[in-house]
Amino acid sequence: MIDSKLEQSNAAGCRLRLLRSFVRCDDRLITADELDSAVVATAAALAHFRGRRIALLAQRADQIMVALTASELAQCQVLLCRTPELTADLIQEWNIAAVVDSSMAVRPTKCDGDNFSDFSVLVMTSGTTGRPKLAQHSIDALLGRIRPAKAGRSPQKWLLTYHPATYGGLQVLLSCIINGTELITTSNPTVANLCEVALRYHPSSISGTPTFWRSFLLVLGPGASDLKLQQITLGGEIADAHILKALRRAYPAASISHIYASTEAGALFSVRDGLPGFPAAWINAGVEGVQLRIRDGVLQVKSPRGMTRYVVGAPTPGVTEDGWLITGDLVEQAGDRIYFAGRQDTMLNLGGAKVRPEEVEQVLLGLPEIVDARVYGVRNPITGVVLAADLVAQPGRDVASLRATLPAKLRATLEHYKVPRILNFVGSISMSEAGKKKLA
Amino acid sequence: MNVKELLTVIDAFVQDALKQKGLPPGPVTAETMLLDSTLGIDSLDLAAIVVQLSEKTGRDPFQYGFIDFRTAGELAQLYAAADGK
Repeated sequence: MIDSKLEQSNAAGCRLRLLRSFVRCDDRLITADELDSAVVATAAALAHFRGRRIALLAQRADQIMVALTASELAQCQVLLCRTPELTADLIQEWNIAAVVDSSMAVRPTKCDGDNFSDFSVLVMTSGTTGRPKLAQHSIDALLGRIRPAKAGRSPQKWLLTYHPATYGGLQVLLSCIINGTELITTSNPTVANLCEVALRYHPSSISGTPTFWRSFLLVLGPGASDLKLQQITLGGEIADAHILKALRRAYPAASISHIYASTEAGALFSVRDGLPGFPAAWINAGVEGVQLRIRDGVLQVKSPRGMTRYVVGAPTPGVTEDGWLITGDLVEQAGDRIYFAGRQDTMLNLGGAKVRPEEVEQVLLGLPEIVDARVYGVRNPITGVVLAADLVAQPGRDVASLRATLPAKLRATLEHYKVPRILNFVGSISMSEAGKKKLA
Repeated sequence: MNVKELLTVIDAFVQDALKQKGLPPGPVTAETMLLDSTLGIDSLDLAAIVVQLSEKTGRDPFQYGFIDFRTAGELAQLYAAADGK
């Protein structure tokens, strides 16, 4: 199907080929042929921008799959945007030679754009403050952990729960491209809609954050057993023992793994033994080509799948003089296991007392009456910050009595200043595009 | 909301905080010293009460910095005098 001239000139060295994949978006089926024609058309339009930086404004998973494949054919550097617009200032600052809009039309900008030579992908960091940074990844680094499916296995069918332009989303899209499999998506990816398309199209594999999985199980309720999941992946946040157990109960036959990855460090490793954290032996021995060490309680890594660099003047992330990437993830060793304890930068200062919200969240998640919890600081003039918790109660629990009994339960395991003083009972925890709990 | 209504709201938040701490209810009047050891709430509880007061009233008397107050009545007056956000 691919245009013979393009095929001959470029496709031979390409790693991305959209030959068999197809995408469902709500009720619409986008066939392999449609994707293939779109690749040819887009690559032809991008041919003029070889070696230059283009920005993809289109947000649908199928469009991103097409743009990635076409950018490799045309040898452009492609920036995956998370919004359908880009200001003229950013186009200039980021040296964007052309934008691909939401109808996949290629529009040149007024910027000439530098020459970047190779095909590479720019992923926006999901930083909560300031303008996003652009993490440049080579295609080899992005594909580093994606293996072709084993022959003879029934074909995978992925449900996309992440925004397709995030690092986590990209891993799902690339897996579908490499394995020529089906991808199920929805234009409005609320947990309720994701449940609905999952029950309609029966994915075999789902990758999502622990926050996503808690809400997914809650919304599905007893309907969870209608899904026959083979592969369950958790990433982006700490996978705690409670959600791992809940998933094991709901899907006894599935293979369950939690993956440790970040936009900067890339996909590092996955843990498949159903337990939180990872074996302490990996600190000395390394794992999946990644070297690990702990300095001042923070995990540092050397990753063969890390980003190449931040582009456009942004300082490189915390890298030590001897080349270790500082992840910012706090870890603690207990016996022969290393556990994630939270982020270095989410530590809260409550009138001088230091609290990691993740620690309090873990205690809350351990209570049978709580399904999900988000703990955060609220500014105030008295203590600087006071701890608040948004809580999702187990269905059928009386919120008024929970409100009365919860603090005493928390005081039994937490120091008094770590007990959230503001308790909000909510229907669900709001998630960011990356599927993570939103920071306050 | 006037001072009297605000005192009622503060009273409700204080009783709620006491209940959360497993302490017996303590009557709150305009003269009640909020951080006095007799009432039983601590600075974090008071911080939470102030946050909830601001949410409920849409007012923030502390937006330009901390203003000293010690009694429930003084806190009610600060909120009564503050502008809406």
